[in-house]
Amino acid sequence: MIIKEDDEIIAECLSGNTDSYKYLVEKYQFRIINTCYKYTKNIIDAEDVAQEVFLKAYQNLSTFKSDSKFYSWLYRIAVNTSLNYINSKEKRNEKETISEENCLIDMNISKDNPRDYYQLNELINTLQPLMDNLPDDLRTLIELYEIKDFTYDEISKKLSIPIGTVRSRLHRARNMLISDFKRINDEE
Amino acid sequence: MKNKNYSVLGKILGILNNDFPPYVSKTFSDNVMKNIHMNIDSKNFNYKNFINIAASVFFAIVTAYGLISFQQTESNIIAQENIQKENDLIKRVTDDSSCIKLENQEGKQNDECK
Repeated sequence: MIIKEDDEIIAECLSGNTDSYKYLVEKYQFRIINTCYKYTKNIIDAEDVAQEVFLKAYQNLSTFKSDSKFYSWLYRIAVNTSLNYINSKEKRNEKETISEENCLIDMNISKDNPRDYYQLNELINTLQPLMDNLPDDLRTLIELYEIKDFTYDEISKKLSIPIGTVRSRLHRARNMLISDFKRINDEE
Repeated sequence: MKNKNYSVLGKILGILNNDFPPYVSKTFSDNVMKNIHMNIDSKNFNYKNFINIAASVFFAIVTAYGLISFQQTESNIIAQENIQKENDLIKRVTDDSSCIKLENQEGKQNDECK
């Protein structure tokens, strides 16, 4: 199972392989849409704004400096785009607060076409056992890198292990989580 | 280019950070990629249009310049021919020394004097 690092995917995109960008979109779509959702309070608008975020990020990919995490950069774009969206909406005199009508539309979509949507809250309970099953060193790495947002360098210093080891262990931890998650949730 | 692992990893990261919306359209990533491809196509279209317009303007300028130069050369040649003819006439009128000589000598008109 090959899961490429973000900087590898970015390098591929910059060398002309546009389709590789889909991997980054799939990896971060949930978190970015949720960031936009916090501002727009409407899932349909959140998806629209998130689309703009990914488009902007793609157009400015060459300006991304690899000394920071790709997600942090993407998150900043998402916040700015969401704020712009709110401002432009206000300018258009559409100051309507999130109406019950909008919420109802959202609910209807989710109920009518459950196969067209991912609903992660149904999967929350399946992940914790998988995390618990990971060896301690791998779980610590996942927590430090993916939750506490440490960089490879910081983890390497904190755990006193070479950066190469951090990378390879993280790779192994991710692969274990993905294959177990797919097996439990019947995702092939 | 189908690799579900990234989507699964995305779900795991979302759940781990408790950072996910109520639901997400399954076609979201496809829509983003469609948008990106459309953007690239329109950029290429604009670039090609620009090149076409620039090429048309260039050829128009070159053709116009060519036509003007040709016209000028033509009129210069005609003018030069006219000047040449006039000069010949003037020369024939002014350079009448041989005629005078002949008239004086024989009183006859020479063909050269005509």
